[in-house]
Amino acid sequence: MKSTHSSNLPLWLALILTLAMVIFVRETAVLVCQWAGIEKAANIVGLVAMFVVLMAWRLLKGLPIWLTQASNTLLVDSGFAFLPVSAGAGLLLFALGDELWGVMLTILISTLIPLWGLALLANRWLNQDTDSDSQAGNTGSTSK
Amino acid sequence: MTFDSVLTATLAAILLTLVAHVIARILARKLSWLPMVITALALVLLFLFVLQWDYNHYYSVAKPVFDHLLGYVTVLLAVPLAAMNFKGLPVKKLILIVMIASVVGALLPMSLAYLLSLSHETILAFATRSVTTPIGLSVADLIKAPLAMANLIIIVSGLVGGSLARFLFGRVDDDRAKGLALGLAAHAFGTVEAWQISHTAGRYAAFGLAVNGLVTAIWVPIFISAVAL
Repeated sequence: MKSTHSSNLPLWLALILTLAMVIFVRETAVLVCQWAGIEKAANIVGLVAMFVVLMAWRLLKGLPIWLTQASNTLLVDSGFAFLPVSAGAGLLLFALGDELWGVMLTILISTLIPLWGLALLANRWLNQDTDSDSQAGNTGSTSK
Repeated sequence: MTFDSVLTATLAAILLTLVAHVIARILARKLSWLPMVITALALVLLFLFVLQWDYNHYYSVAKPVFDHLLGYVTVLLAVPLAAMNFKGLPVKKLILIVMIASVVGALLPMSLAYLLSLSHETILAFATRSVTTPIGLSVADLIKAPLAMANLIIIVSGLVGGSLARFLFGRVDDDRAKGLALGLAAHAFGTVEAWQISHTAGRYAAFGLAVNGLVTAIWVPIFISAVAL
């Protein structure tokens, strides 16, 4: 199964094609979900549908490099899409009142303990296997 | 601030958001220690304050457009996940780690929030703690959790995980493990931090972020509706 294959396509065209594909899949998912009465699941259904389509494409032909390049370019600026709702989150922080300390404590514990535990678990489990990924000249596989 | 029509207000909201995003991006390039999302967020609030524009009105006119954009970003996340090269990876163990991360990432914060007697809406919002914002907001919408609270939890937890990770990784010497843990537990901020450690850590973080988002987006709404929270 090839993960990617090269193809010459200018970035602007790659961006347009990728956006067209994403918009088509998402809007189709919206229509399907509206028909099925699960409108709010449209984004998740779109994500799963896109993943299935791409995996089929990858299995049959291999994904073109322009697609990953375009998605990388677009994802760098993806933060723009959730700025208005993020601003609401910023305001909410000052309006949490009695819940502020509970929310902050929950965030701290539920972020740091899994982060530490998962790192230790992955460190042990990934190193039990002879992994070509870490041996194929990957210079960044140990701490600097 | 008043507008002649909804269209003018929507265009003004898009422009204000775009300016904040572009300035934050330029600043983040010049000052690498500056977290771009937080800067952009602070700039939006600053602009709203300077223009005396009520947030609720700004959000109501921006929402129709940005809801579409959020949907497109969610769907776009399928690309790096589908393009991941699994050759040579211990796939079974990776799957197990992702499953543990997804379950712990949702249930641990919800249980803690319950034990600390936080409100029902806040407990629901904590279900999205370990997933990246576009997916987290879609999940929050689906489980009827408050979007702003879910977003606050996602942003603050990412910031906490990304900034404190280096202090927790004293006994971890494999960058793959560091990256994977950062992507799984601290999503986008963690992935940015992982790229600072090494390219290997960055790639594993991107994988962890996308796959955890996908897995959590599938089981959390089903779980929440099953237990009727």
